[in-house]
Amino acid sequence: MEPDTTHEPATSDDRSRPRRALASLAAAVGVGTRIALDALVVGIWVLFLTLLFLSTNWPRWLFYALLLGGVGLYVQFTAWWGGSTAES
Amino acid sequence: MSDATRRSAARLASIRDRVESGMDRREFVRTLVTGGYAIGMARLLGVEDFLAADDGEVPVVTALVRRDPADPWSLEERTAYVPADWYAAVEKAIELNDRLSRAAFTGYLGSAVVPDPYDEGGAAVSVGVSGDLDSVRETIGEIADDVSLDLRTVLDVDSLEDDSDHYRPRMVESVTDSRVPAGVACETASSLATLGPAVFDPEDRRQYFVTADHAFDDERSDADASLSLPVSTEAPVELGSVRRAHPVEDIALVEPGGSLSPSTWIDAPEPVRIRGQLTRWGLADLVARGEDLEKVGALTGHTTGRVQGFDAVTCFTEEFCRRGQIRWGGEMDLTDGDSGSVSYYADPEGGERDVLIAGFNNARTWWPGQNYVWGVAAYRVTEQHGYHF
Repeated sequence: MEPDTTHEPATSDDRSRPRRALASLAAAVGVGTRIALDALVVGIWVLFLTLLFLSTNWPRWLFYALLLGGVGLYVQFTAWWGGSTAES
Repeated sequence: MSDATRRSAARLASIRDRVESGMDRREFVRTLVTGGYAIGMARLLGVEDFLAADDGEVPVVTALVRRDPADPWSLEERTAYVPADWYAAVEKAIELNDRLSRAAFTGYLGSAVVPDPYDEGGAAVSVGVSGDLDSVRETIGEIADDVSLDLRTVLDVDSLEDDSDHYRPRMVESVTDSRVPAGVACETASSLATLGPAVFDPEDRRQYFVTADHAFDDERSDADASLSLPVSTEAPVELGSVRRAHPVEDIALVEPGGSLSPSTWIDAPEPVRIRGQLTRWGLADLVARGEDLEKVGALTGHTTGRVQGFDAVTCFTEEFCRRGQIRWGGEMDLTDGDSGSVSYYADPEGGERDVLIAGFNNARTWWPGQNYVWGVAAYRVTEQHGYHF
């Protein structure tokens, strides 16, 4: 029992370093997924609007209004769902 | 401080808090980046092409033009806006013309798409038939609203008189330059034709001399497949031998074999430089505006004439039908020996001497009632084989 207890602080200190690396890796993966997801969702939105406007002959200003409005709303909603940015 | 001001100050502070928490820096950056990405992607998809069009207008590609006049591989598309109803009618006429030619009913000799002027907003299909018009009308049946049908009886297709004796061929006087301009005489083992301008093949990235395939014998040996340049003061100079022959389009590509190479200049009274080529819609635009094409043939020289139709099908001269032809000018614009020459149009956006190629000249009408020259259009050659000017 004795040798084990003396070693305990050292081992917990050792363990915290990979845990911290793991946490930053998880954060990086989180950011990466978010960027990929953003790119995918916005890409689909652009494609949808393009096809819609191709078939309807609606004015140009409406295209850009919907494009940027959609992006703004998307960012707002995802921020609320995530909750982290508002709380921190 | 009054109660009201204190209350409004508190409200302001709470709004500021909400704005700060609702839209922090990270979100702001994210909105900017995502928004920029969205606009960039929309541009990449080419949304401006159709968003820029006015109501009731549609964009069409009218020409393939070199960005750099000296670089044949720098072709870019040029677009123009045309009325939507006119576009729809012409599109319908193209489709109808194609269906007619594939049905190939008895008596069908050829047809062409003839767009109306822009303000009339319609189009016609001109059909040449031999025999009874009424039976043909029954065969074809109903036609779309905006597209009218123009039936012409073609008489006496078999007799062809030759009046090429009146002309003396335009020959190069002496070979001073290593590049041979288009529009001068060239010679095969069996006949005389007109030399076309340099044709480029993007597949092997090489340039070729070009002339009419029918200038060569049908059953030629390799020795007969050479093309030479007659020179008025000296002996003829060898240009090269046929590398690619396309009897249906009636063009033969000749690989430069000697010291001479093809040129992008045409030997007109005022020499002109080729800047690109017209597309199908570029030709439709010329018909709608009633514009003229020009050509330089080795026998008839420089002539001009009205464009009469495009996407034409001709079944007059061979067992098979030739598609994607231009009809323009009149019978006097072409004679034997002019085959292989190109028709062109002054580039409205280019330099003073820049021209766009419409197509090759191949044959002409010789029967009463119709009066034009025809030949394969540049867009057809590009579609079929990839070659361009």
